[in-house]
Amino acid sequence: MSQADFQSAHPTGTKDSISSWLDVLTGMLAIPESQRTQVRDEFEDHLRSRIDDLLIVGKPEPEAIRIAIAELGETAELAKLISKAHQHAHPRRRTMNIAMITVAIAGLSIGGISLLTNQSAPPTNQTIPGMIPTLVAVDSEHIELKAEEPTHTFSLELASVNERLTEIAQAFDYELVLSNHARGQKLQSFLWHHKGPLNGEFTFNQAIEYIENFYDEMYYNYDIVISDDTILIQSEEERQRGLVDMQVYPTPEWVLGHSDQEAYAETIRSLLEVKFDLQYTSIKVLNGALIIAAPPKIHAEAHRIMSEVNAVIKHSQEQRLERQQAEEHERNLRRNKLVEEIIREREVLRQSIAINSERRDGFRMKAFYAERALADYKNNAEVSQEKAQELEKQYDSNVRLTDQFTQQVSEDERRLEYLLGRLIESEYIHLDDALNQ
Amino acid sequence: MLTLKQDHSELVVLSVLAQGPSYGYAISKDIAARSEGNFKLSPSGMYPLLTKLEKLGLVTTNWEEVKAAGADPDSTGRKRKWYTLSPKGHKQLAKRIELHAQMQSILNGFVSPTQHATHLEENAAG
Repeated sequence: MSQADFQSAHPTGTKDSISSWLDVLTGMLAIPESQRTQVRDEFEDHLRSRIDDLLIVGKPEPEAIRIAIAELGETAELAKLISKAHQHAHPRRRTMNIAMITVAIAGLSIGGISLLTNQSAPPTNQTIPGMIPTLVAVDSEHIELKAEEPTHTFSLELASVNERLTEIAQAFDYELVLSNHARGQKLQSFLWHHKGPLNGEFTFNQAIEYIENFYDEMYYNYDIVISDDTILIQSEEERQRGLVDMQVYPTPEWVLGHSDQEAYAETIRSLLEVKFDLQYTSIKVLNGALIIAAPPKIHAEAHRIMSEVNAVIKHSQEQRLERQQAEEHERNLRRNKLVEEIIREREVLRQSIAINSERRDGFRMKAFYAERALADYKNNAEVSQEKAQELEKQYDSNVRLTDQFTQQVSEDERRLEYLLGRLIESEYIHLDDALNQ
Repeated sequence: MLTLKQDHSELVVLSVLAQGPSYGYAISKDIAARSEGNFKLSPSGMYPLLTKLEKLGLVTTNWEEVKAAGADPDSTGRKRKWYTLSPKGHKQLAKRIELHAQMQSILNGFVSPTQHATHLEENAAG
């Protein structure tokens, strides 16, 4: 299918799988509406370009769509990374990575002899104890970037996460806000019992990222949300709940009737339950639509499951249809062959009937004349006995032949009638097939 | 296939854009092609990186409407975001290349050809 065909099959505005996936992605983005539209447009272009390439190499369209979407990875994770990239106006991760390179190069100093003698300047201060001097001047860009953002020098050797975040908030004039879970037991261990350093010169973004790099968000089940003047600490669960969103999914065309739609919804729920706690999820069927209120990652999974199930069912339906069409084609071939044979036999029979009728009539005529001659003979005593016998023999023979051909014609006519019945029956079957399609 | 780390990703993407303006999907294809399939920059790595490059002023962007061949001229096409390396981006790329060369030179000091050969021989013998 060409790009033009594909686009005409999925004109802008229709709810195809790509649009549904884009709805899910954009629904998860924590960025302003204008940026959200741009992200959507960019990913739509990516997906459709990829699908076009896959169609060119011969992938069927449903598989091409499935592959293109799958290549984008976990939707919730993708949305999180995009949101982060938009939220952090300054190059937080990037400067950290440059610092890491600096660390790596600085770490190559062995036995007190710096390998960077020509490029490096003396370290300005100490960062993580026992690891690195911070700002080696090998990276002139680092200094340039530093000038863009204010920095603060921290000197916490062993402090809890809460203490370090409080320091960061105070240093950069942010307010540290703890959610219910953060204040309660769920994040107590993470906030108060995990101690570590915050030592060295950091920009705000570097300092937050330093904490995030230290403690894996998924493992410790926390989430840090930065707004203009607030650092919010919440649990992943609170984040999910805060992101609960309602989406309406049409039930596929092959799910007919309310009870089947209920069964379909129940199947989706069961499949989701294998992977997720559905505490904040509701799945309802209303007038042919599946309404799901759930956190984004569940929407993403539900969308993936439904797309895959639909693709498999559609594929199986297509295969069944192809099989049916092949069988019908075979039936038609057999029927046409049979009809041709019947027509040919009827033609032969008609000719045979015509010839045999003529013969029958001829013998009937001969019998008639023989009978008349015999009657004349009986009135005429001069005719010899031999002649009379011969006439009688002629008469008998002609009558027998007349009967024989009469019977033959009659049999042929019955066969002709029978074949006509077969022809009509075959047409009826054909008509019946056509009506049942 | 190697998955690109963030620092390498920046160098690679800036290098691709130094060849001329491009868009997301074409950049990822270009990376795969130029590395003969050895490098893969996933969309979840590339698009956030492009956003960061844009925010840093290393790239400028503009939108183009893409229509399929043979599409109705009055129909709305999809939108494509083009990225162009800015003067600041060119400067940044030069710095990245310089840093890369320094790193390579330092690392080469540890793995001299003689050392490499000896290591291979030892491995083969062992």
